Amino acid sequence: MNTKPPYLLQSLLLLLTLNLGIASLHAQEDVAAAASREHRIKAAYLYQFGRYVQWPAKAFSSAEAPFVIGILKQDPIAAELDQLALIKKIENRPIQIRQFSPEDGVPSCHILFLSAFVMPEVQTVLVGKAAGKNILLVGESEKFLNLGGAVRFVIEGNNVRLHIARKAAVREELIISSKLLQVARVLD
Amino acid sequence: MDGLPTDLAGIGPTNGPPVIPGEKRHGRNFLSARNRTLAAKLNLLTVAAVGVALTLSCAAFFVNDVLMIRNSKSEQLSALATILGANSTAAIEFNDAKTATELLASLHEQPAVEFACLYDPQGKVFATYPADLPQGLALPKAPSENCTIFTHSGYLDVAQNIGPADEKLGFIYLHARMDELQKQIWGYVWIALAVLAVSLAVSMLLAHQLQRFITLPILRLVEAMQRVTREDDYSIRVEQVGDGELGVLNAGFNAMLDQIGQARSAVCRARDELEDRVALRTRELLVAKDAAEVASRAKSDFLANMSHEIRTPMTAILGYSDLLLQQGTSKSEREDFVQIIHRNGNHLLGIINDILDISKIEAGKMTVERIPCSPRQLASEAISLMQVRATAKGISLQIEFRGPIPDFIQSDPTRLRQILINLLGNAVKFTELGGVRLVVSLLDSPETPNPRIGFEVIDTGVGMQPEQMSSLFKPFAQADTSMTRRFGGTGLGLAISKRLAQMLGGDITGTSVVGKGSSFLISIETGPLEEIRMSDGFTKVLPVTTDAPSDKPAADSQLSGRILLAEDGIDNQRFITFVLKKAGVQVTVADNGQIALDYVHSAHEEENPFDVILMDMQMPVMDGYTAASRLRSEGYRGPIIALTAHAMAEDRQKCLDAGCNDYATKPIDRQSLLRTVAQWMDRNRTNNASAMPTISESNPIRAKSTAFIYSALATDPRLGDLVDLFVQEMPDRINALETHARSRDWQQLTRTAHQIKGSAGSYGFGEITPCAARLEAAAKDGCQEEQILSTLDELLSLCRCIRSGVPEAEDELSTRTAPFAG
Repeated sequence: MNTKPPYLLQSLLLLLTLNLGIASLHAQEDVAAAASREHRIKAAYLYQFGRYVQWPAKAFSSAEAPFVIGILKQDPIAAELDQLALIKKIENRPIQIRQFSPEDGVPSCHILFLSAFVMPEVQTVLVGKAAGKNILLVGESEKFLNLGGAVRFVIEGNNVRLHIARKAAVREELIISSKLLQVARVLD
Repeated sequence: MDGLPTDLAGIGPTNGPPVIPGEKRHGRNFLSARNRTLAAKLNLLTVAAVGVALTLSCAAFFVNDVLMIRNSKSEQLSALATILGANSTAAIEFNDAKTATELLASLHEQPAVEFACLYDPQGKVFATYPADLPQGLALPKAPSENCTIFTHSGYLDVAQNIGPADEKLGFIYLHARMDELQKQIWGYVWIALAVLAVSLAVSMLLAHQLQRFITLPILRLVEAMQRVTREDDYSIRVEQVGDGELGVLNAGFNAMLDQIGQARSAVCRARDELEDRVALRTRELLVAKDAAEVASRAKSDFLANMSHEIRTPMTAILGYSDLLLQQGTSKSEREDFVQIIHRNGNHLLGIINDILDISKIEAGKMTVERIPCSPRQLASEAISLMQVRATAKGISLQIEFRGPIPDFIQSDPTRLRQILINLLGNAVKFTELGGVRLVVSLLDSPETPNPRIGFEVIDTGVGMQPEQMSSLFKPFAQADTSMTRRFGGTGLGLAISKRLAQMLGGDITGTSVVGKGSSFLISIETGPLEEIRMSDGFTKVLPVTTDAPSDKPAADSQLSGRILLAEDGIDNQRFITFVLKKAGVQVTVADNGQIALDYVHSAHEEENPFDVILMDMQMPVMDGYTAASRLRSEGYRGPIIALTAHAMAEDRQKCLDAGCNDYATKPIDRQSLLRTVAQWMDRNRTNNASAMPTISESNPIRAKSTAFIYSALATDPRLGDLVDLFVQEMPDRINALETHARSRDWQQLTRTAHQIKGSAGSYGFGEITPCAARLEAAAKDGCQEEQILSTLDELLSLCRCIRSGVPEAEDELSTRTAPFAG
């Protein structure tokens, strides 16, 4: 080592740390931003599903019965959904967000969203429990559709894509609009 | 085409001459130049109408179509946008640009769409078509609402909201080329124009063909009219072309030509008629002119003739009297000369009388009387006048009254005598052998309204040709001038006689055979014959003696007495004095009326009155009328004989009214004068106050009583006015008497006579009463007509003499009248 200022290194390190810190912050922020964006999109999609899928009449007790979206508690998408539920309506029905725990079983809802963080075994159980309840099962995990889910969010690059298993929807007496099918990747 | 019909050969009258081809062509060109406007007008009319209609309809349809196309295009594009937009909602909502682009890519099927893009709700372009935009293409701003715009550059821009209206999911924007639209529009335009052109062409063709129906008749009419004017032929007619206005036009044209033709022919007829009349009138005028020329020539001849006729005897008179003044002529020679002078003088008198007569007749101033006269008397007198001459020539004279002859006829005896003497004289003059006969007979039955009596003079003389006979009665024209020379005469006698006969209601007609003789019939009206007595006819032949007729006048009877001659003419004084003295009369001559009066007065004082006064009517100082009336008013009753040159009846009457008893016309005939004087001397001697006139007097005017008659009661204060009234009314009574006598109304006559008888006596005219009484008796008893009439004449004479007032009061010579009164 030469005669370099002793502080340079420290400053550089500091800077670097700072930058890294900022970067990590940014990154975090980015990540956070990206995450919130993602959640927003997904929430929007869930809302859209309400519009592009047709439930049988028996799924609703009445014309004013709310449209229920079920999500697990602590799902980060809840915030966005709540925001959405405040503003929007589906078919003039108010949107209700029902958060539940897995041990509660599958609530009565129209759309059930299982995020990727949910353990596969839980997902399997829940999917199994949701069968026959006219629930549109929306997930993210890789094998979601294999489990029996109808729709799967897939992150492709910067976008959120949809993969749809039509049969699963049909099994639940759900009709998916061709428009939705058009923009999604239909797997069966 | 030249715009004209090609069958002008049909123009013209159906029966007229054909139109000359050259002329026709010229006419066509000429007509085409003129009538181009008519056909052109019709064509233009049609074309304009069709053109306008077509243009309007094409335009309307065009506009309509264009609008429809645009609408449909924009609807199309809108629909496309809507569909695409609806299909893209998922893509936009799910942020699937790829799918959205794929969707838009389907616009490839719409070649018109050049560009399209999807906008997300934020207004960002989400997907485009074509997927790869060309560099630098400006993307339009995100639309905010639905709109459909046809840009000026020929593009259609449609912007549509995607999704339900209340949800703004984004917009879809389409930018389409409208060149197809343009093409379609242009296609329409061309089609429309083509249709227009074709239609116009067809309509022009049709119009051109169809306007013939109108222009052809009109052109024909025009041609016909021009022909009529050019050829002045009004027989041209045009064919009928149906019932429309053109038909009416043609029919009207024909009708007008009919009228014109008729009018013209009427004018021609009138003109011909006029010409005929003018020719006729000209002929008449020529005839009249010839006649006038003949008459003028005849008048000139007459004047020459008359001049000659007058001068010839004048020559003899002057010549022989000149010889008489010479020495050395023997007594017998002198006697001869005097005879000659006398004869010529008489002849000249006859000529002058004839000239005067014919002048009077020509001037229409001749008058004839209608008074009773005896045809027997007149005929006998005329015959006896001819006797001397007939005997001298050794020819017989015969008078025959054939059938019943009325005793009296209403006529003019003077004129009748004149006619008879004229014709008989001619007959005797022109007969050398044989004789002359006068046959008197009634030509008509007395019952006829206007009966006539005929005097026929038949001679066995030289006769004459018919041409000579026809000119015989014309004044100034003798049978021929040789006759005048041979037989003398004025040539006027027959003309005068004929005229007189006509004025007497008849005529003279004659027939003649050359060498055999002539016969002249005088017919005159007789007046009503109902109550006239008829006498039967007889024949009397006058003896033909062989005694040499003496040319010397009969020895004058000797008279004695005193005569006063009031005459202012020296020659007449001498002549008359000589004649009277020769007859043994004492003559006193007065130069005028005043002197005559003086002589009368002095003669009366000497109680040696004149037997007869011969009073010339025209004298200075005091004329005969005044003198005579003066004498009469003084009570002079002696005969006064008027010497007058006037021979008219009114003048005679004037003389008699003045108080004369008789008159002698100048020039004084010696024998006649002596006869008259003798007559009145006798009368005076026998002191017959009232004359007894007979109708056989040579003077037709009856003589009157001598003195005026005054009423004895004239001065009576009570009756004086009545007397005057009676006198004033007397002329009416006289007229009444005469009228009754003329109409042979004896009843009325009786009545009037009775009235006069009564009144005359009452008003002191006692002298009238007995005469009136006699008349009344005679008329009432139905005596002979002659008697009645003679009594009437007597009465009339008396009546004419009555005067109002008293003799003394009327005259300043009252002292002198005293001896005459009473």
